[in-house]
Amino acid sequence: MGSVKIIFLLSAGIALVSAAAAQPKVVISARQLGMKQVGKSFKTINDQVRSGSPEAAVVKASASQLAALAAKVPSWFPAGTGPDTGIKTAAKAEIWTRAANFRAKAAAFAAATRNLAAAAAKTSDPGVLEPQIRRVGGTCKSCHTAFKLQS
Amino acid sequence: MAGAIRIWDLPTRLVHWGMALLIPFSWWTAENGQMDRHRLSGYLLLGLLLFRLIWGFWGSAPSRFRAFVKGPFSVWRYVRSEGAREIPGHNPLGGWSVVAMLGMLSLQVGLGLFSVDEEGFESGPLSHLLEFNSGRTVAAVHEKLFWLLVALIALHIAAILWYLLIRRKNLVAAMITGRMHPAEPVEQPRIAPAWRAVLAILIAAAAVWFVAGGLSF
Repeated sequence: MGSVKIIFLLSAGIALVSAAAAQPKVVISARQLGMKQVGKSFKTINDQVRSGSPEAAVVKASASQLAALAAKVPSWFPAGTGPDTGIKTAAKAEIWTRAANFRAKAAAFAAATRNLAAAAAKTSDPGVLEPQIRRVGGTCKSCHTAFKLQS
Repeated sequence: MAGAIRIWDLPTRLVHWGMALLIPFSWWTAENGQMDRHRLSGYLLLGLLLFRLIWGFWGSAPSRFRAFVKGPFSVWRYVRSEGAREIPGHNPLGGWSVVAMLGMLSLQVGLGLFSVDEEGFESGPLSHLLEFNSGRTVAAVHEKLFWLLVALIALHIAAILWYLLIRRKNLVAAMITGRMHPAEPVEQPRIAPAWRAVLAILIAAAAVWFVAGGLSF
Protein backbone atom coordinates (compact mmCIF):
# COMPACT_ATOMS: atom_id res chain seq x y z
CA MET A 1 0.00 0.00 0.00
CA GLY A 2 2.84 2.35 0.92
CA SER A 3 4.55 2.14 -2.46
CA VAL A 4 1.23 2.51 -4.27
CA LYS A 5 0.63 5.67 -2.30
CA ILE A 6 4.06 7.02 -3.16
CA ILE A 7 3.60 6.28 -6.86
CA PHE A 8 0.17 7.89 -6.70
CA LEU A 9 1.54 11.01 -5.02
CA LEU A 10 4.45 11.19 -7.42
CA SER A 11 2.32 10.91 -10.53
CA ALA A 12 -0.13 13.42 -9.11
CA GLY A 13 2.79 15.75 -8.39
CA ILE A 14 4.19 15.41 -11.88
CA ALA A 15 0.78 16.04 -13.38
CA LEU A 16 0.39 19.07 -11.13
CA VAL A 17 3.68 20.60 -12.20
CA SER A 18 3.09 19.96 -15.89
CA ALA A 19 -0.47 21.25 -15.66
CA ALA A 20 0.63 24.43 -13.87
CA ALA A 21 3.04 25.11 -16.68
CA ALA A 22 0.25 24.79 -19.24
CA GLN A 23 -2.21 27.51 -20.18
CA PRO A 24 -5.12 27.85 -17.70
CA LYS A 25 -7.53 27.55 -20.60
CA VAL A 26 -6.06 24.20 -21.61
CA VAL A 27 -6.07 22.97 -18.01
CA ILE A 28 -9.69 24.01 -17.51
CA SER A 29 -10.96 22.31 -20.66
CA ALA A 30 -8.91 19.19 -19.87
CA ARG A 31 -10.44 19.20 -16.38
CA GLN A 32 -13.97 19.52 -17.79
CA LEU A 33 -13.27 16.66 -20.18
CA GLY A 34 -11.90 14.61 -17.30
CA MET A 35 -14.96 15.25 -15.15
CA LYS A 36 -17.17 14.23 -18.08
CA GLN A 37 -15.23 10.97 -18.27
CA VAL A 38 -15.86 10.51 -14.55
CA GLY A 39 -19.59 11.05 -15.11
CA LYS A 40 -19.60 8.69 -18.11
CA SER A 41 -17.90 5.83 -16.32
CA PHE A 42 -20.05 6.28 -13.20
CA LYS A 43 -23.21 6.37 -15.34
CA THR A 44 -22.14 3.16 -17.09
CA ILE A 45 -21.76 1.45 -13.70
CA ASN A 46 -25.11 2.81 -12.50
CA ASP A 47 -26.95 1.81 -15.69
CA GLN A 48 -25.53 -1.70 -15.45
CA VAL A 49 -26.24 -2.22 -11.75
CA ARG A 50 -29.74 -0.73 -11.97
CA SER A 51 -30.60 -2.89 -14.99
CA GLY A 52 -30.98 -5.88 -12.67
CA SER A 53 -28.68 -8.05 -14.81
CA PRO A 54 -25.31 -6.27 -14.85
CA GLU A 55 -22.53 -7.40 -17.16
CA ALA A 56 -19.67 -8.13 -14.79
CA ALA A 57 -16.92 -7.27 -17.31
CA VAL A 58 -18.44 -3.86 -18.14
CA VAL A 59 -18.92 -2.97 -14.47
CA LYS A 60 -15.39 -4.07 -13.62
CA ALA A 61 -13.79 -2.11 -16.46
CA SER A 62 -15.80 1.05 -15.76
CA ALA A 63 -15.11 0.86 -12.03
CA SER A 64 -11.35 0.57 -12.54
CA GLN A 65 -11.49 3.42 -15.08
CA LEU A 66 -13.42 5.52 -12.56
CA ALA A 67 -10.85 4.81 -9.84
CA ALA A 68 -8.00 5.74 -12.21
CA LEU A 69 -9.73 9.03 -13.09
CA ALA A 70 -10.57 9.79 -9.46
CA ALA A 71 -6.91 9.48 -8.51
CA LYS A 72 -6.12 12.27 -10.98
CA VAL A 73 -8.67 14.76 -9.67
CA PRO A 74 -6.29 16.82 -7.47
CA SER A 75 -3.91 17.24 -10.44
CA TRP A 76 -6.76 18.81 -12.43
CA PHE A 77 -6.82 21.83 -10.12
CA PRO A 78 -3.41 23.52 -10.22
CA ALA A 79 -3.20 27.05 -8.79
CA GLY A 80 -4.13 29.75 -11.28
CA THR A 81 -6.99 27.85 -12.93
CA GLY A 82 -9.82 29.25 -10.83
CA PRO A 83 -12.56 31.80 -11.52
CA ASP A 84 -10.11 34.73 -11.28
CA THR A 85 -8.65 33.70 -14.67
CA GLY A 86 -11.78 35.11 -16.27
CA ILE A 87 -12.26 31.83 -18.11
CA LYS A 88 -15.66 30.19 -17.72
CA THR A 89 -15.33 27.59 -14.98
CA ALA A 90 -17.60 26.19 -12.28
CA ALA A 91 -14.61 25.71 -9.98
CA LYS A 92 -14.97 27.93 -6.92
CA ALA A 93 -12.05 29.96 -5.55
CA GLU A 94 -12.47 28.02 -2.28
CA ILE A 95 -10.71 25.05 -3.92
CA TRP A 96 -7.47 26.99 -3.44
CA THR A 97 -8.33 29.08 -0.36
CA ARG A 98 -9.48 25.98 1.52
CA ALA A 99 -7.05 23.63 -0.19
CA ALA A 100 -6.71 21.13 2.67
CA ASN A 101 -10.46 20.61 2.78
CA PHE A 102 -10.62 20.23 -1.00
CA ARG A 103 -7.82 17.65 -0.96
CA ALA A 104 -9.53 15.72 1.82
CA LYS A 105 -12.75 15.57 -0.21
CA ALA A 106 -10.89 14.54 -3.37
CA ALA A 107 -9.10 11.84 -1.35
CA ALA A 108 -12.42 10.58 0.04
CA PHE A 109 -13.74 10.36 -3.52
CA ALA A 110 -10.65 8.49 -4.71
CA ALA A 111 -10.89 6.07 -1.77
CA ALA A 112 -14.58 5.40 -2.44
CA THR A 113 -13.88 4.66 -6.11
CA ARG A 114 -10.99 2.34 -5.17
CA ASN A 115 -13.33 0.40 -2.87
CA LEU A 116 -15.94 0.21 -5.62
CA ALA A 117 -13.35 -1.01 -8.13
CA ALA A 118 -12.11 -3.63 -5.65
CA ALA A 119 -15.67 -4.86 -5.08
CA ALA A 120 -16.50 -4.82 -8.82
CA ALA A 121 -13.38 -6.89 -9.53
CA LYS A 122 -14.93 -9.70 -7.49
CA THR A 123 -18.67 -9.43 -8.13
CA SER A 124 -21.38 -7.65 -10.09
CA ASP A 125 -23.99 -8.40 -7.43
CA PRO A 126 -26.08 -5.21 -7.08
CA GLY A 127 -26.58 -5.95 -3.38
CA VAL A 128 -22.82 -5.68 -2.84
CA LEU A 129 -22.14 -2.83 -5.27
CA GLU A 130 -25.05 -0.52 -4.44
CA PRO A 131 -23.75 0.61 -1.01
CA GLN A 132 -20.34 1.29 -2.60
CA ILE A 133 -21.99 3.23 -5.43
CA ARG A 134 -23.95 5.33 -2.95
CA ARG A 135 -20.72 6.12 -1.11
CA VAL A 136 -19.07 7.25 -4.36
CA GLY A 137 -22.13 9.36 -5.23
CA GLY A 138 -22.00 10.90 -1.77
CA THR A 139 -18.37 11.94 -2.15
CA CYS A 140 -19.10 13.47 -5.59
CA LYS A 141 -21.93 15.46 -4.15
CA SER A 142 -20.17 16.59 -0.99
CA CYS A 143 -17.24 18.01 -2.97
CA HIS A 144 -19.48 19.60 -5.63
CA THR A 145 -21.68 21.22 -3.00
CA ALA A 146 -18.65 22.83 -1.36
CA PHE A 147 -16.45 23.59 -4.35
CA LYS A 148 -18.50 23.65 -7.54
CA LEU A 149 -20.61 26.58 -8.66
CA GLN A 150 -24.17 25.31 -9.06
CA SER A 151 -25.93 26.49 -12.20
CA MET B 1 -78.68 34.47 -11.21
CA ALA B 2 -79.61 30.90 -11.98
CA GLY B 3 -78.98 27.96 -9.65
CA ALA B 4 -75.60 26.35 -9.14
CA ILE B 5 -74.39 23.67 -11.52
CA ARG B 6 -71.61 21.13 -11.13
CA ILE B 7 -68.84 22.12 -13.52
CA TRP B 8 -65.56 20.51 -12.35
CA ASP B 9 -65.76 16.91 -11.17
CA LEU B 10 -63.64 15.70 -8.25
CA PRO B 11 -60.93 14.02 -10.40
CA THR B 12 -60.40 17.21 -12.43
CA ARG B 13 -60.07 19.28 -9.26
CA LEU B 14 -57.67 16.79 -7.65
CA VAL B 15 -55.52 16.80 -10.80
CA HIS B 16 -55.51 20.60 -10.80
CA TRP B 17 -54.55 21.08 -7.14
CA GLY B 18 -52.17 18.14 -7.25
CA MET B 19 -50.26 19.85 -10.05
CA ALA B 20 -50.44 23.20 -8.25
CA LEU B 21 -48.68 21.58 -5.26
CA LEU B 22 -46.28 19.26 -7.07
CA ILE B 23 -44.84 21.75 -9.57
CA PRO B 24 -43.42 24.05 -6.84
CA PHE B 25 -42.40 20.95 -4.86
CA SER B 26 -40.49 19.61 -7.87
CA TRP B 27 -38.69 22.93 -8.23
CA TRP B 28 -37.84 23.10 -4.52
CA THR B 29 -36.50 19.53 -4.33
CA ALA B 30 -34.36 20.07 -7.43
CA GLU B 31 -32.94 23.31 -6.03
CA ASN B 32 -32.06 21.56 -2.78
CA GLY B 33 -30.62 18.42 -4.35
CA GLN B 34 -33.34 16.16 -2.93
CA MET B 35 -33.44 14.00 -6.02
CA ASP B 36 -35.30 11.05 -4.50
CA ARG B 37 -38.20 13.35 -3.69
CA HIS B 38 -37.82 15.11 -7.04
CA ARG B 39 -38.15 11.79 -8.86
CA LEU B 40 -41.19 10.81 -6.76
CA SER B 41 -42.80 14.18 -7.51
CA GLY B 42 -42.13 13.61 -11.21
CA TYR B 43 -43.77 10.17 -11.07
CA LEU B 44 -46.84 11.65 -9.39
CA LEU B 45 -47.03 14.41 -12.01
CA LEU B 46 -46.65 11.82 -14.78
CA GLY B 47 -49.57 9.92 -13.23
CA LEU B 48 -51.69 13.07 -13.02
CA LEU B 49 -50.87 13.95 -16.65
CA LEU B 50 -51.72 10.47 -17.93
CA PHE B 51 -54.92 10.47 -15.91
CA ARG B 52 -55.84 13.93 -17.25
CA LEU B 53 -55.17 12.74 -20.79
CA ILE B 54 -57.57 9.80 -20.34
CA TRP B 55 -60.05 12.05 -18.53
CA GLY B 56 -60.02 14.35 -21.54
CA PHE B 57 -61.89 11.57 -23.36
CA TRP B 58 -63.72 9.72 -20.56
CA GLY B 59 -64.34 12.50 -18.05
CA SER B 60 -67.30 14.74 -17.29
CA ALA B 61 -68.42 16.89 -20.23
CA PRO B 62 -66.61 20.16 -19.22
CA SER B 63 -63.32 18.26 -18.63
CA ARG B 64 -63.25 16.69 -22.08
CA PHE B 65 -60.91 18.11 -24.69
CA ARG B 66 -63.87 18.18 -27.10
CA ALA B 67 -65.50 20.75 -24.81
CA PHE B 68 -62.66 23.24 -24.73
CA VAL B 69 -60.18 22.67 -27.56
CA LYS B 70 -61.59 24.92 -30.29
CA GLY B 71 -60.35 26.07 -33.67
CA PRO B 72 -58.75 29.47 -34.33
CA PHE B 73 -62.02 30.98 -35.60
CA SER B 74 -63.83 30.19 -32.35
CA VAL B 75 -60.95 31.73 -30.41
CA TRP B 76 -61.01 34.83 -32.64
CA ARG B 77 -64.78 35.26 -32.31
CA TYR B 78 -64.49 34.86 -28.55
CA VAL B 79 -61.70 37.45 -28.30
CA ARG B 80 -63.60 39.88 -30.60
CA SER B 81 -66.70 39.64 -28.42
CA GLU B 82 -64.50 40.19 -25.35
CA GLY B 83 -66.03 37.16 -23.76
CA ALA B 84 -69.51 38.73 -23.76
CA ARG B 85 -71.22 35.35 -23.79
CA GLU B 86 -70.57 33.35 -20.65
CA ILE B 87 -69.32 29.86 -21.35
CA PRO B 88 -69.47 27.38 -18.48
CA GLY B 89 -66.05 25.76 -18.19
CA HIS B 90 -63.03 26.76 -20.26
CA ASN B 91 -63.69 29.42 -22.91
CA PRO B 92 -62.07 28.97 -26.37
CA LEU B 93 -59.02 31.07 -25.38
CA GLY B 94 -58.64 29.61 -21.89
CA GLY B 95 -58.90 26.14 -23.41
CA TRP B 96 -55.66 26.74 -25.28
CA SER B 97 -54.05 27.98 -22.09
CA VAL B 98 -54.90 24.60 -20.53
CA VAL B 99 -53.54 22.74 -23.56
CA ALA B 100 -50.34 24.82 -23.46
CA MET B 101 -49.79 24.20 -19.75
CA LEU B 102 -50.51 20.47 -19.97
CA GLY B 103 -48.31 20.19 -23.07
CA MET B 104 -45.41 22.05 -21.48
CA LEU B 105 -45.72 20.03 -18.27
CA SER B 106 -45.75 16.80 -20.30
CA LEU B 107 -42.61 17.89 -22.12
CA GLN B 108 -41.00 18.85 -18.82
CA VAL B 109 -41.84 15.53 -17.14
CA GLY B 110 -40.81 13.66 -20.29
CA LEU B 111 -37.38 15.33 -20.33
CA GLY B 112 -36.97 14.58 -16.63
CA LEU B 113 -37.29 10.86 -17.36
CA PHE B 114 -34.15 11.03 -19.52
CA SER B 115 -32.14 13.54 -17.48
CA VAL B 116 -28.72 12.72 -16.06
CA ASP B 117 -27.04 14.75 -13.32
CA GLU B 118 -23.48 16.06 -13.56
CA GLU B 119 -22.12 13.09 -11.61
CA GLY B 120 -23.85 10.40 -13.65
CA PHE B 121 -25.44 9.32 -10.38
CA GLU B 122 -28.93 10.74 -9.94
CA SER B 123 -30.98 10.32 -13.07
CA GLY B 124 -34.39 9.71 -14.57
CA PRO B 125 -35.71 6.17 -14.99
CA LEU B 126 -35.16 6.17 -18.76
CA SER B 127 -31.71 7.80 -18.73
CA HIS B 128 -30.04 4.44 -19.37
CA LEU B 129 -31.34 4.74 -22.94
CA LEU B 130 -29.10 7.81 -23.51
CA GLU B 131 -25.37 8.23 -23.20
CA PHE B 132 -23.94 10.64 -20.63
CA ASN B 133 -23.57 13.75 -22.84
CA SER B 134 -27.08 13.48 -24.31
CA GLY B 135 -28.49 12.93 -20.84
CA ARG B 136 -26.71 16.08 -19.66
CA THR B 137 -28.12 18.07 -22.59
CA VAL B 138 -31.62 16.85 -21.76
CA ALA B 139 -31.07 17.88 -18.13
CA ALA B 140 -29.96 21.36 -19.21
CA VAL B 141 -33.10 21.79 -21.35
CA HIS B 142 -35.17 20.37 -18.46
CA GLU B 143 -33.78 23.10 -16.21
CA LYS B 144 -34.35 25.97 -18.65
CA LEU B 145 -37.77 24.88 -19.89
CA PHE B 146 -39.14 25.03 -16.36
CA TRP B 147 -39.25 28.84 -16.62
CA LEU B 148 -41.38 28.62 -19.76
CA LEU B 149 -43.82 26.51 -17.76
CA VAL B 150 -43.71 29.13 -15.00
CA ALA B 151 -44.49 31.84 -17.59
CA LEU B 152 -47.56 29.90 -18.78
CA ILE B 153 -48.71 29.42 -15.19
CA ALA B 154 -48.19 33.14 -14.49
CA LEU B 155 -50.43 33.92 -17.49
CA HIS B 156 -53.02 31.47 -16.13
CA ILE B 157 -52.98 33.16 -12.70
CA ALA B 158 -53.12 36.64 -14.29
CA ALA B 159 -56.24 35.61 -16.23
CA ILE B 160 -57.89 34.34 -13.03
CA LEU B 161 -57.06 37.64 -11.28
CA TRP B 162 -58.48 39.56 -14.24
CA TYR B 163 -61.74 37.63 -13.92
CA LEU B 164 -61.79 38.17 -10.15
CA LEU B 165 -60.98 41.91 -10.12
CA ILE B 166 -62.45 43.17 -13.42
CA ARG B 167 -65.24 40.73 -14.11
CA ARG B 168 -66.03 40.02 -10.45
CA LYS B 169 -66.06 36.30 -11.15
CA ASN B 170 -64.40 33.90 -8.75
CA LEU B 171 -63.02 31.03 -10.81
CA VAL B 172 -60.94 29.69 -7.93
CA ALA B 173 -64.06 28.90 -5.89
CA ALA B 174 -65.39 26.78 -8.75
CA MET B 175 -62.12 24.84 -8.88
CA ILE B 176 -62.40 24.18 -5.12
CA THR B 177 -66.11 23.37 -4.76
CA GLY B 178 -66.66 22.14 -8.31
CA ARG B 179 -69.74 24.35 -8.54
CA MET B 180 -70.46 27.57 -10.40
CA HIS B 181 -73.37 29.97 -10.60
CA PRO B 182 -73.99 30.79 -14.26
CA ALA B 183 -75.47 34.21 -15.00
CA GLU B 184 -78.06 32.62 -17.27
CA PRO B 185 -79.57 29.19 -16.74
CA VAL B 186 -77.57 26.48 -18.45
CA GLU B 187 -78.09 22.76 -18.59
CA GLN B 188 -76.26 20.71 -15.98
CA PRO B 189 -73.28 19.15 -17.83
CA ARG B 190 -73.05 15.38 -17.75
CA ILE B 191 -70.81 14.18 -14.89
CA ALA B 192 -68.80 11.00 -15.42
CA PRO B 193 -69.43 8.01 -13.12
CA ALA B 194 -66.81 7.18 -10.47
CA TRP B 195 -65.95 3.76 -11.90
CA ARG B 196 -64.49 5.42 -14.98
CA ALA B 197 -62.18 7.51 -12.79
CA VAL B 198 -61.09 4.34 -10.96
CA LEU B 199 -60.31 2.62 -14.26
CA ALA B 200 -58.40 5.66 -15.52
CA ILE B 201 -56.39 5.82 -12.26
CA LEU B 202 -55.47 2.14 -12.60
CA ILE B 203 -54.30 2.61 -16.20
CA ALA B 204 -52.29 5.75 -15.33
CA ALA B 205 -50.72 4.07 -12.27
CA ALA B 206 -49.74 0.99 -14.27
CA ALA B 207 -48.12 3.18 -16.93
CA VAL B 208 -46.17 5.14 -14.31
CA TRP B 209 -45.01 1.89 -12.72
CA PHE B 210 -43.78 0.65 -16.08
CA VAL B 211 -41.90 3.90 -16.84
CA ALA B 212 -40.46 4.24 -13.32
CA GLY B 213 -39.03 0.74 -13.64
CA GLY B 214 -37.14 1.76 -16.80
CA LEU B 215 -39.68 0.20 -19.17
CA SER B 216 -39.52 -3.22 -17.57
CA PHE B 217 -41.63 -4.99 -14.97
